[in-house]
Amino acid sequence: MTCETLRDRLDQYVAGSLDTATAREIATHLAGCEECRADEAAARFLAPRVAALPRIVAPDRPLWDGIASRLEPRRRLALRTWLPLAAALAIISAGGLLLVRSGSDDVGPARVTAADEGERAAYRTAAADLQAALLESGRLTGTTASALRRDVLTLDDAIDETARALQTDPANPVLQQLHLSALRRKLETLRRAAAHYTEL
Amino acid sequence: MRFAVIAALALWALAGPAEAQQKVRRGWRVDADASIRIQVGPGRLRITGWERDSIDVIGSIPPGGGTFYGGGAGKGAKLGVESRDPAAPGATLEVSVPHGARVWAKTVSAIVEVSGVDGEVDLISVNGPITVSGSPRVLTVEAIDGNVSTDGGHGVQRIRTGGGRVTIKAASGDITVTTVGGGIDATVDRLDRGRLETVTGPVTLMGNVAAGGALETETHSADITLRLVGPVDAEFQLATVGGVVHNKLLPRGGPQKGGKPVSFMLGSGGARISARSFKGAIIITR
Repeated sequence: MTCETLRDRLDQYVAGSLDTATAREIATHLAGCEECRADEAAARFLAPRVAALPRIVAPDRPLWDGIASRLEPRRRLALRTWLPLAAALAIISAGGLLLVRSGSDDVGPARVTAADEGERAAYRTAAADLQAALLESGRLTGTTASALRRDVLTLDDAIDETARALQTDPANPVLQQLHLSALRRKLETLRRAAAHYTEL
Repeated sequence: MRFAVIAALALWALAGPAEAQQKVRRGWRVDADASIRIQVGPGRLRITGWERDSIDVIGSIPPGGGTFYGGGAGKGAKLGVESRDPAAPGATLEVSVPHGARVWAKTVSAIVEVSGVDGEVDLISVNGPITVSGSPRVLTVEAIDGNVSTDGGHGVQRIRTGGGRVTIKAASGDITVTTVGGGIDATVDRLDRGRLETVTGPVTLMGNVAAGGALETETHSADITLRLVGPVDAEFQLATVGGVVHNKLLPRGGPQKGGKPVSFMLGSGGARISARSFKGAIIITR
């Protein structure tokens, strides 16, 4: 087995989802290859953090608003039942970690709810964890790290600005959307960097 | 003097022959819809779709640039340049693949050019520029910092980069672009569905949205400019919290400040167009 072949299967190896023969082959290679052992350590470090990210999902508010406004009242009930399930299935099958509200059936004017706050908190926690794993630990270096640091600073500025604006106007739906977008984008940016780190 | 000559000759003898550039010339058969994985660190990677059911690789690897590998058959193949040295000099690979293949390529800083592939194309890069021409059925680009340019697409395009600039010319399709600091410049004929998002990069779209289609644009601090071409038949929702809305589609359309959303409809409102920004301007014009 080459280093390249091993790297392609490392995530599955760490997750324990490979067949016995392949796993044994990888273990043999790892025993004699220091560089691949370093890759394995990195994969083992990141895997539980990525797995711990919330997997709850529901459609974006703008999308849902658009759908809801076109529905007759009696049809809304049916969609409320299956839409979160369908969306969750779509995300699970895609392997994505998109974070959105779970089971929300709020189609009225935007207002601050515990679910909103929980959703924002989930984004913040997940992003902080990934940021620490990638940047503060020194795992990412060079141009990748400097580009990521720059983007994280930009995103943090956007998050802070929208958060401050929300303090004075908490029920503003545009502000809510913009704040959530900034949080989501920060997590996506960090996830993209994590994927590069484990794959390259 | 005599000692110096002897020493120089001794060093020359010990040094041995200089390492030569490695030439790559390989070809092998695969299925027309094979999945092909390509990996290159720095350098240049050109992927071209062709009519044959085979892979052909021509390239060169400079001394210290790594080792070429390639293999597979039928439904799957992989090739690339393996190097453990992050500072290795860049290789050049020109890879011809069946045009219906599913191509997955990852690089660090290589210049990537893809053309004529109409299967799925999945590109991952740190900071090399990426250019795609033709229309892959699904194009996915994940870059940390590279510029991305696509031309001629009418399928699904999913492009994410950080500081890179994204330029799109497309006839139609479903386009999602997300950047942080990079600007987005899209020229489309009739977009079926679009979502263009940045934080500090400006968003500019020229074209139109198909009946029943939707376009969503969003920035934090940069301007959004939508130049609509041809008859406009859409429902608009425009909102900027701290910026200004310049609506040049309506006689009394602007400028409007104060963060109040602007909604209006042209024609029968067959499409939905929204623009949202925290403090960037929104300009809707023809």
